[in-house]
Amino acid sequence: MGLAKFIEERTHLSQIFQEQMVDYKVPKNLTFPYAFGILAIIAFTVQIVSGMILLMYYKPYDTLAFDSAALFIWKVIPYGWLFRSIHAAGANFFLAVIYLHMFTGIYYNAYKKPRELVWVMGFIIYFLLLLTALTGYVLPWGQLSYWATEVTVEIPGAIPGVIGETISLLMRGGYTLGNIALGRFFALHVLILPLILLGVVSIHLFLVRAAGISNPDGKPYDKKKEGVPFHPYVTLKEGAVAMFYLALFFFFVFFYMKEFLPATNWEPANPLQTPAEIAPEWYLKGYYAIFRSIPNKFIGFVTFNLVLALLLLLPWLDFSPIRSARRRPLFFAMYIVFIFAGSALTIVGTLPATPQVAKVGLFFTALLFLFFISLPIISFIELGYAKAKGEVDYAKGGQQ
Amino acid sequence: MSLGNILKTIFFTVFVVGFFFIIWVKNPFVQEQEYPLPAKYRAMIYSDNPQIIAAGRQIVTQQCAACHSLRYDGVYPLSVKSDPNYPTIIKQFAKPVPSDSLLAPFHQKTKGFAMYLPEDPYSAAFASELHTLKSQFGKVPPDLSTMYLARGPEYLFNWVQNPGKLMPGTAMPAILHGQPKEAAEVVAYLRAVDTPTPAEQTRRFEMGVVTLAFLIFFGIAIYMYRGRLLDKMGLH
Amino acid sequence: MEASRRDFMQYVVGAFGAVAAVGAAYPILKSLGPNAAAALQSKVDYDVSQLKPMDVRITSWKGFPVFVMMLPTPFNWSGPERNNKYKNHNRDILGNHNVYAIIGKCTHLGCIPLWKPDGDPGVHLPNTPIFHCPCHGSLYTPWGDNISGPAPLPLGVPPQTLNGNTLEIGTPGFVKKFWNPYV
Repeated sequence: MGLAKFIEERTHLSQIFQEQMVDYKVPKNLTFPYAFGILAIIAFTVQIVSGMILLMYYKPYDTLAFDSAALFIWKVIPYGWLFRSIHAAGANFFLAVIYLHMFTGIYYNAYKKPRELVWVMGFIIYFLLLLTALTGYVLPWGQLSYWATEVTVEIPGAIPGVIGETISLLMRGGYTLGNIALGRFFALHVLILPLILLGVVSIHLFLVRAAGISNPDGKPYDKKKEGVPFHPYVTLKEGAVAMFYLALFFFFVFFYMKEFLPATNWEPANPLQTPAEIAPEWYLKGYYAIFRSIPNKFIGFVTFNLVLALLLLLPWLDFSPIRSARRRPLFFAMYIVFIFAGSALTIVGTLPATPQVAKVGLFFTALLFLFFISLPIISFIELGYAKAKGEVDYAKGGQQ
Repeated sequence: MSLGNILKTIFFTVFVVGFFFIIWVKNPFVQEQEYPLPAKYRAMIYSDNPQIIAAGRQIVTQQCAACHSLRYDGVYPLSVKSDPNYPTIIKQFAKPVPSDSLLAPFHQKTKGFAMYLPEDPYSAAFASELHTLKSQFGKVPPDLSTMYLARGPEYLFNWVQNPGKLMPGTAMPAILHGQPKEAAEVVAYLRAVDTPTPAEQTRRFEMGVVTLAFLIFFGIAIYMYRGRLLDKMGLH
Repeated sequence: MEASRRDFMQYVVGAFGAVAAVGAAYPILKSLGPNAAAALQSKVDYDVSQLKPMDVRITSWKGFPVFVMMLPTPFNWSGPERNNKYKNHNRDILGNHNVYAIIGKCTHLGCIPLWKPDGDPGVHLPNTPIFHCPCHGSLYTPWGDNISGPAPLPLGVPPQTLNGNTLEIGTPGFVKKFWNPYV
């Protein structure tokens, strides 16, 4: 076609495509979880597009916000119900995919040299995404929007003295969650955080390509002999997976929105009346469970932040030269403990705040920390094992 | 795949699916409060029957509106409606909101549009009436527009008959005490305000089925195309 | 054989992709279009019971300013008429109805003409009721037919019907079709 030739002569796109996508070789044994990265990008795009439509009609003012979402978008704007459902379900799916993507990376030790920076960027994305979800959740200004955000913004207030108060004050722009906070969260959610996210995601993708995709076996592989072209081997496989992901996603959008548009949030926010059960959404419930299970608020605050810090420091906590849970039975066992503890903590976060529940939460918090503490110990053991077997090459790292 | 790999795949798949099932679909660790709703009245509430809905709306506009508003369907408290400024305020500040086919019959004078008054002009223009309600009940009785979605039919059916039983100390009197049929009619109307018409629900259902089927076939097509490409390249 | 099968799948995938693009674009575009509330603006009812002869009231229909007028009966109008294709265009449409609505937007550049029931000596038409556009001086008859000035066409006439004391603008009746000179 004439147009294709016109563009081709001026951009050499097909040459770039050939070099970057077809000549680019990846290991043949990439497993299904490697698709979570692409699914994360798709989920991000879905949020941006649906968010853009909602942005046209949502009003970030306390007496207008609820009705703009529950009446105008939901009932008056053609297909407004569809875009609101997509955006609400999409936020949950986005975070689910990110967690799965993160835990895949932990399993295959994809944070080790030379991919430490990939991991750091990924952590920053995760943290920014939690902030984006938090700032977005308050916008519909329902009872849960208001009170769950109120609770979450209060948590930094656990830092004793002036610092804690100042942080809470700065987040809200005042002493209560009102129009200043709403406007501020709106700006963060709609523009500031997404722009930063786009930047960090781009750096993350660049770093993935620069370091090369990890090998599930954790061994170096011969690119020429065992590599397959990225396109079509991986692109189309993940393309098909993406379609099934979207099918699952739209199943929820069309047939099961109950969980993503929770009942309590269909009540307009009432700053003078707390609903019977308030808690952050599931993606923060794990941290919430940790916070609740420790009697001292400040120590609870430090503890769940410690979890985040340890997550960031994984590449340095786990310094064993051996990679991938496939070849590390000790690490595999502790990995199971880790995901079990994390999942259990999330479920504990759904339970009411009783002393028994706090004890259970404390138990799983301890298990979670056990995982992190075990990493240097396992690394030490494996390092000794590798040195004893004379596999010093692995100690140097290498491409994989 | 070796046996170890198969077991690991099954384990992790079951784990992930189970986890999301628990937090998104049915959490067995959390007890949901159940409220009784006899099958006869449940059928009335879900019937989409225009007569039942009309009866419910009449009760709401004549009894519930003594204290409550339902602004999404243009229902305002009786004291507000008898305010001399009411027609002017509505004419100047109300936004016409299209009603669906089940609610349009109640708005024939306004061509099938409910006159929705946004919160600010509503609270400002009728501040004295709302203040009277507040001093009577301790707070302005909540707007009922999204109450069906916020509480659900079982809770509301029991609530309108005996609020004090569900929330001891509430200021709301038991208006429909011992009147389950009327309670069902009221809940049917509240449902009509918050639920699309059966025709629209069917349309959305069909949209969902088509989207799902399309995506699944698209995924299969991409996978088959990939197979052909790889065969051609001699890999697979 | 292989090549044609690969091409076939390529077309299949391409077709799916095209359908997906349309399927995604459809709700986005529909959400941008007018919703049912916009339909409300297409039918405006005006209570004419308080009008007196030679009164002109302004209202709004579909975003246009509208003149609702009452002419006395009988009404003799001795003003000039423009000798072109649209001579007496509106007068023919509105016939002998003395209560009607015309679009109050000048067909030249969109200003709202002024109603001068006693005429205007300054435009050499004393004692002749006219519409006089203040922007560039176009003149119209009481029915909106353009007499002089840069206006190329008569004023618009919305579909309308008189129902007792209510002039229903937007509902076809004694004027069936919308005369729209503004597109």
